[in-house]
Amino acid sequence: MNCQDARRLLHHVLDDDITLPAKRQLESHLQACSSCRNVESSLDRLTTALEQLADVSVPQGFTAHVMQQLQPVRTYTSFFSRMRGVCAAALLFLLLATPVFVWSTLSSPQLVADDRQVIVQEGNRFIVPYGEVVKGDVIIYKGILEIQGEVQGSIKTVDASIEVGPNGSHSGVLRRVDASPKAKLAVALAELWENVKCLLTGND
Amino acid sequence: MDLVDQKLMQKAKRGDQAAFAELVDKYGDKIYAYLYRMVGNREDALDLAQETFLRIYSNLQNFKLGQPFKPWLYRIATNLAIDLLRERQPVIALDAPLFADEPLRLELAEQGPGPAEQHEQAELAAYLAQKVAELPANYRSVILLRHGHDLSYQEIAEILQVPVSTIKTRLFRAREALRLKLVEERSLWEAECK
Repeated sequence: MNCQDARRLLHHVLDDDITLPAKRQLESHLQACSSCRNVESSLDRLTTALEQLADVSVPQGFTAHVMQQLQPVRTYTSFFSRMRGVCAAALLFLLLATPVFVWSTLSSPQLVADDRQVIVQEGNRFIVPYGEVVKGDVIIYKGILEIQGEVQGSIKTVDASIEVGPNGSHSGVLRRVDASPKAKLAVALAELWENVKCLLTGND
Repeated sequence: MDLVDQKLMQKAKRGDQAAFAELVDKYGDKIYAYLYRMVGNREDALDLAQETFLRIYSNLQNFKLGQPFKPWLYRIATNLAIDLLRERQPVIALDAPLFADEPLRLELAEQGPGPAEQHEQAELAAYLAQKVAELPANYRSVILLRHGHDLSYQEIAEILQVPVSTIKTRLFRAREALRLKLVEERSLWEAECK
């Protein structure tokens, strides 16, 4: 190893960028060569002094001063994560309200029909008055459907009965269903759907 | 990779200001010291150090977790320093020493050598600071980042956006130049004392 190589390697030692065999060779060269040893010691003094240059402290209160100047962070979050609370509340409300609604619907006689407004309710009797025509389908739950006028659509009864008056007529399909949970649920959902439609269209 | 930094950055990204303050606390001295040596006066160094951390904060969302924090921090600081030096260049002569108006305050290790040697060591450091300031900025940044800020070849290459081989060359040349200045100074000093 000549001195030029050795001096280059001395720099590599400072950066831990040297193989073990090369390091051994360098060490044996250094033992034999005093001028390279001088280079080594001046490099050591240099790096020690350079490290001292980094020993400077920032003025006190620096961190606090930086923190005071911070702008609010722009966070990129989705609409749903920002509205997480609102969404959760709405979902909880739906979860709680649906069974309450279903239960209250099923505890009293119900009639679901497209032409609901022509049908008159008296207690648990739903009356299609004389001269009126119900064109759409009718679902009746718990109660009596009294037909004095005309029902053209199909009728589905759940736990209900039908009385047809002397001038009354029914030309559609009639289906009688016992009050199974499934049928009850169908009634409740139909009623719920009617209410939602009313809400959306603004009809009563 | 520094896991503490990653943890703090993760928290800071979620809006935890205390975590960010911890990072400022941890690196404030080092970044200030680096910028001071880069730009040559305390006032500019302080401004740039603040700006460095404000930029880190406003770019928090661009930081990908798992990416090393320290090179990113030094890269921002380096770019700010280079920008300032470029602005100044027309008015300041290239060979003007940066620290002419600044008394050098060097904090020495407590269990150091005796007072006389300490004095010598401090003078040496002051002299060296002068010589470092006289290096071209792209050599100065390499030598500062390597010594005193403990960054590897790869990290420095990343900070300065140049190949590792360039970093090695600059380090070698800068260290040789400074070492020769030190040897020169020492022999002058020894000659005076005799």
